[in-house]
Amino acid sequence: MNPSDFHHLLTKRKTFFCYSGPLREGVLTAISESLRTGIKEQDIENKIQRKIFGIFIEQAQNIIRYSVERPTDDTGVGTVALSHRDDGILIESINAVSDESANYLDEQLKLLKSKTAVELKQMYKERLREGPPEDSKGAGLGLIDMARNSNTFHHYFESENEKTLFVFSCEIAF
Amino acid sequence: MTGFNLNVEASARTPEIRLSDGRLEIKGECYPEDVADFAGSIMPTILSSLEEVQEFKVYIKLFYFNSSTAKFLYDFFENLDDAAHSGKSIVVNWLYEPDDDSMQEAGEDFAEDMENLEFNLLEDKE
Repeated sequence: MNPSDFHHLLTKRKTFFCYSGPLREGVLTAISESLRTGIKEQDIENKIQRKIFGIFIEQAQNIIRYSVERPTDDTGVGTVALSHRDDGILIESINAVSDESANYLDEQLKLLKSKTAVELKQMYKERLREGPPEDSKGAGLGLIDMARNSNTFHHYFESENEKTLFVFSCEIAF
Repeated sequence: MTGFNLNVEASARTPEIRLSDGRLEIKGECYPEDVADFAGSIMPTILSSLEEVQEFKVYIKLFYFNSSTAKFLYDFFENLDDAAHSGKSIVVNWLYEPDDDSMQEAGEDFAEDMENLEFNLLEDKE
């Protein structure tokens, strides 16, 4: 692929922000500010801007915590991207996960997809009360939070060189 | 004058914290690397202060917090709710910008679960 192909690819899919590589909290702090500026320039309502930022942070922190490509203990490798859609914004994350995480994510996301907004709220509050599942490094609330803030979300897994890639996208409508 | 005070400046990802005389103010954003670490740096002082007083007022204005912080906040409110149950006068004022649906809804989620303390949701334009 030529460098210009890469440029054209991002332009064609209307990606206005993309980070790919090692992510750790310091990197996230640094890119958060430029992301904020990037979102502000998109002429989007404040409340939508906040949702976009929130989903981006949850996706990025999931990469930091759960990516199985780990150059150091506190660093996970992955890609996060924001793109325009005809009537909204797409927030995507891609990272390698363990088979165990893949099963958990698949099960949770399918479950969340079957829920109504009211049911998602109930699940969120139950999780707040009861605390995280045993294998969660966070509060176990992140996926529910993203499901609540997205209008639609999709996920799939891809096998690549004996690795399992988790591809997750959330769309927020204007 | 109680013996427990906090004056913590905001960082890029943690809020400003002010505590004196049974009044706690939290303002900013909260999505730290390790919320347990951040909580550990402020909660012992806050809970000691709560033990000393009969009236405790909290003013919280957050613009964004991540899902790990939501759990930390919930646990904190439960502590306050227990204190209110034991007879203390506890007020939480949850402030949000007029157009900030996310923070308004987050406040409502917390408020619904608290039984003994006074939890006020207040629009607050800067």
